[in-house]
Amino acid sequence: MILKLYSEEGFKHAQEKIHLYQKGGKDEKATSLKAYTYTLENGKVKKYKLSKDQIFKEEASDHYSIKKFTMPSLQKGAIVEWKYTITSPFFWHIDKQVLQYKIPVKKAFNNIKIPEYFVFKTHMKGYLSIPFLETQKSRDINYSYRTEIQPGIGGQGAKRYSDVLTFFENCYKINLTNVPAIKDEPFVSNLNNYKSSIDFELSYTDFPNSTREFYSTNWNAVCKDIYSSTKFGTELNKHNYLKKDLATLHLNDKTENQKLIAIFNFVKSKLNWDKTTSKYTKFGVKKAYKTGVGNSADINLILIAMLRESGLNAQPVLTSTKDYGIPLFPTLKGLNYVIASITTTDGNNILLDATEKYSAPNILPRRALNWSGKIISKNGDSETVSLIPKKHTTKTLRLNAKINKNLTANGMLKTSLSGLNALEYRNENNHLSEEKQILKLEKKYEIEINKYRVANKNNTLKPISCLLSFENSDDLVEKINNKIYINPLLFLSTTNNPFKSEERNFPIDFTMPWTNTYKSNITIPENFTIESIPEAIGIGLPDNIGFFKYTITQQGNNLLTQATLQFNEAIIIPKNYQYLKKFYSKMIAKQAEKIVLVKK
Amino acid sequence: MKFYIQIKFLLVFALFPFSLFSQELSMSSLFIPKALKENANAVVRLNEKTITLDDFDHITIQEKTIITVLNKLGDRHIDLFKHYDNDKKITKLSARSFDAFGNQTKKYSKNKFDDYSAANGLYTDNRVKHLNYTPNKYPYTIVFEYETKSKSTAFIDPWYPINGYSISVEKSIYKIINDKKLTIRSKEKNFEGFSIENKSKDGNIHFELKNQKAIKHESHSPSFSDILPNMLVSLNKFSLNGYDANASNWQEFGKWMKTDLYDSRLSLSEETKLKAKDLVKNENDPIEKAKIIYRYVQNKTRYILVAIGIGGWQPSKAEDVDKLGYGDCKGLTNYTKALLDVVGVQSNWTVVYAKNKKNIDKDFTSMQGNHMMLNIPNEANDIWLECTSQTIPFGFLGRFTDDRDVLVLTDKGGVIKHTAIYKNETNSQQTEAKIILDTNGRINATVNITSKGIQYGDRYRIIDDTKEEIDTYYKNTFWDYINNLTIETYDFNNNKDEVVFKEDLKIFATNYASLLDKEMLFSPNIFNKYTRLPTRYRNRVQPLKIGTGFKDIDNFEIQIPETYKINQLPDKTIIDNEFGHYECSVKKTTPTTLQYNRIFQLNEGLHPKESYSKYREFIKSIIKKDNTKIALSKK
Repeated sequence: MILKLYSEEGFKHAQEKIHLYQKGGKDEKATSLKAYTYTLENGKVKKYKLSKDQIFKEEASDHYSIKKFTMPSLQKGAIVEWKYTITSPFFWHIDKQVLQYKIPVKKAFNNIKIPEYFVFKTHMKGYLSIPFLETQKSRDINYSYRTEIQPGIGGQGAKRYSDVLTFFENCYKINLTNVPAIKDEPFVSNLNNYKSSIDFELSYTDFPNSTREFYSTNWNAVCKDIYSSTKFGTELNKHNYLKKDLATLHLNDKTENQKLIAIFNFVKSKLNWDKTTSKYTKFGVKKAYKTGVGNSADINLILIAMLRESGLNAQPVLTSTKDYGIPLFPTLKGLNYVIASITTTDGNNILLDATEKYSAPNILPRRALNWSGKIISKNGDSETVSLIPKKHTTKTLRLNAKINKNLTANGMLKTSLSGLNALEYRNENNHLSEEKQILKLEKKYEIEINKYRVANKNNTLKPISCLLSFENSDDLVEKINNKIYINPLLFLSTTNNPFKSEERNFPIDFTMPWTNTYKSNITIPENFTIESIPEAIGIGLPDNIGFFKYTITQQGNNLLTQATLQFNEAIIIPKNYQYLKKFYSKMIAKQAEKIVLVKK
Repeated sequence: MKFYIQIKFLLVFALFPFSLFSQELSMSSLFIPKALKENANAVVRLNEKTITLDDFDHITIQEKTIITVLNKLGDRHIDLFKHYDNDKKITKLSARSFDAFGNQTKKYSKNKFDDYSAANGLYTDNRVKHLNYTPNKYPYTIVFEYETKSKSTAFIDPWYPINGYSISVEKSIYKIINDKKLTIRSKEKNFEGFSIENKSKDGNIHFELKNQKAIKHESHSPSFSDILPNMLVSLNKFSLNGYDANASNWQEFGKWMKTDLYDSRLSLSEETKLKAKDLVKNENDPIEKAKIIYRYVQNKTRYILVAIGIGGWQPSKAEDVDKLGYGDCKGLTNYTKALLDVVGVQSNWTVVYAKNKKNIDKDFTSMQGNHMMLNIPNEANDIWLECTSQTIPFGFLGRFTDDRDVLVLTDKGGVIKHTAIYKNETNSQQTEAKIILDTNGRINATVNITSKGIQYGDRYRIIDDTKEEIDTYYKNTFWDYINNLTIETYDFNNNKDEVVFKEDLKIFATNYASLLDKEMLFSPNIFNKYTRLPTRYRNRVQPLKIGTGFKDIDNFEIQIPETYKINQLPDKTIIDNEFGHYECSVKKTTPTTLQYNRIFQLNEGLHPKESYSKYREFIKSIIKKDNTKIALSKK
């Protein structure tokens, strides 16, 4: 690694952490570490060596140790260089080769040589195309061995032989120049999905005189591999531990849907997610069931086993969480999560994730809404299923307000939330005291709330419904020169454009399609009359990505406003960014237009 | 500035003898008094800490904590971890969990705890044993017990019986067993109004607090340690990682620190000494010499956290920092001092509580502080140097270390001094802008902002940011209320000698004004809207604290389109009260020019709780005034 440091801000890059894995008495080693700082002083290059006592080894945990160092004698314009060798006994694992960073790379050179006995697949990721050169070269290894002493009369002594092994090596060479820096943007769920990298995954081993041993080649093989693991298939097929509890649910006469709900709720309340994600069980289903704590596989495999035991057609769905990245290629490493799927008798698929207390059938937590998953059937075959709900998550706000003669306002706001919106609302608010929730809303809307009520707090099959009332709000209308100006949506107006940057490199990720509806009904004071109201508007985005509709109508002393903002796509590609930015800007400008009242 | 916390400073140990624990306390959470559940996320059923002073250089700490967690916000009160190092051993460690009915659900012995390095910097000897507990159902109860033995008696855990907001305390016991009759000093703070009983006798210390309701967090409150009861304890004769000390006052304490821990760390190579002398050869004034040395250190070094040796209390040697070009706050401060010594400028190591404003207690001598900086005596105008920043101006402190009591290690021993104070009007921001508003409601403007004092400290670092970061800063932070904003050009001037930061910008924003049939509406306060309305509390409990005062002055000249005319304008507003001063006015200077002027000064201060709603009204009316719009009508 050679880095040039242009500013003090850049000094933080002049340090290295080498993670070394250790397991089962084997460990990785970092050796031949050399590091220098070069500076230009009075026209002469000065070289500072990193001394040995400044390399620190930290036993970070049972499985990792970290070698750390930071470069000496830095100054603006300095160049630092380091070099080390890692020797690893874990031959099946090659570290992911990251080729793009938050700072630009002038030159990147990777050379990977793999003996023919190990066949690795390569996975490329990122927006940048990575040209790499694949060649085969012959290599010789000289080795020697000894025979055992032969037993029997006239037995020979040990004999020493030496030989040469000739084999091919697959060589991968990557030679990149001028790799631009990668920068984070709002509404990007996981920047690593776009960072250029190349990953190697062991596909099979093929040693002379032995059969090929396959690891993962296609999705079917990957799924079969996972399915046959003792921490997956074996765990999934255990069911004696849950029979007793299942009987207490009395499901025999129940419908398919009633069974599903009863078991789902039972597992959700019995098991608590330890916040770790994996496709393999951590504690094992029996232990998890007994202690009530499990990882994603423990909990959802229990759920599936229980559903199956009650006669439902349930299967595991292998997937990865949003923060883990999107697996674009058949990969064992790329999967880190498992949920459940039910195929109903009428052929519908229902997805379930029991790690999340407030999830519901087909309403998964945000982390699981990552592209697609693989349903695994009982014989280990797999099939792709989309995880993104087709139904929009909705938020509907209905506001009734009366403007009094003294220009204060009283009113009520009803909010309904469905789908992911409801799940996240429950997660963020259900444990808060009413007082705290009121304070939050007062901050958000800048009103003073006198009553607040939430319905369906814990009934995840129904939408959340909140009702609040406010009184004597004195800053909802504005009086200028004997005229009154009112925002048609009062405090519900969207005033801030989340898309501020001039350009966009990566897709915008809304996680799923959504619809927000705002309705207001404002009663104006009797001694005033309407001078003007904003015109209705409808704006759309290309390819039916989304739209905004806005209408205002007058009914006597009442003004009815309705606004709908809808996105039909979860992901919006950067090509459409400028449209989106203008769309928001128009929408905000429209909502800033006022209703004007004059005295009668 | 780098924020540095030495791990040892932060550890609030808690102790208790396992065998002493009485079984009368039910583990069930069904019978917790209602009053203790009000506003509480968790209830400390018992916290009993026993500190046994085996000798001046040997201390045993035992603690038992029983906490019932009522909801998921209470999970964070379950601190199932314990730090240790070469000097401090964990001799016992265990945890048990119970359900609401008092049935034991799990038991964890010492070997079930994870063990890892406590490093968050380059290196530290400190390690931690930690248990990751996944709650099953609420409420649940955790019993956490440990015992540690240490040869360092320099820090004796203080007692903070109420250790957070939204947590109530059924019983908290703090005992110091002092069979050897060592000389102990202690200081009680904020005990009035809390049900604390003193059961101390025979040279032992024993305090108990009972049935304390949960305290709600309120914004604009004094800091935790200023309102909640706490007690500091210290030995006159103590030991720190094998270094023995005897100190009953700051003078003696400072002398010990200086001679035992610091004086030996100053040596520099002859080459470096010559270089330092060469740098200042044309200067006679000590302050000017110090400036040159400070600039040299800033250019040569950077901050890296390294905590090794004597519990992280001793600085790296000056010659090592000289060689490596990095160090932590102690190392960098010590290096600066070593160079100043060489050029004949007197300076002193200074121990301080950095970041959150907190004094070194001038009346109670003990190991305190979490940061180190340098003091240069200068009559009544001492100079303070922050040595961990490569960019901060000479002698400037900012919010990090301003206005607090600090311990200065002088030749005569420890002395408590007070750092520089940045009073209200010295923290100024002046904004001059010329704005052209067009018929489409778009504004084009040139803006010049001058910041001083604390506001300088809040601002000057953007000069080192990238173009994108600067763009984001104005759009998302500074002027987040201006939509469709484009920063066309920016230019910064950082005058480090005067400590003045200037921003010159050219911007435009479309759709700034909203267009109606015959009118155009816009707010003339374009560039400095106050937006932070304090939370409304129905029953304010804590006093009102306004932390840092400031003064903003805004003068905007707004050119309106020829096709519009200015109607009646709002009257001038002046508000004056104990919290500060606000005025704003908008005047017609020509038929198409408006002049907007605004002054807002907020005063630092502490007010009784009754003042809170008045303060909130004050800010509310300022926000309203700042948002006031004017209407222009078409000619």
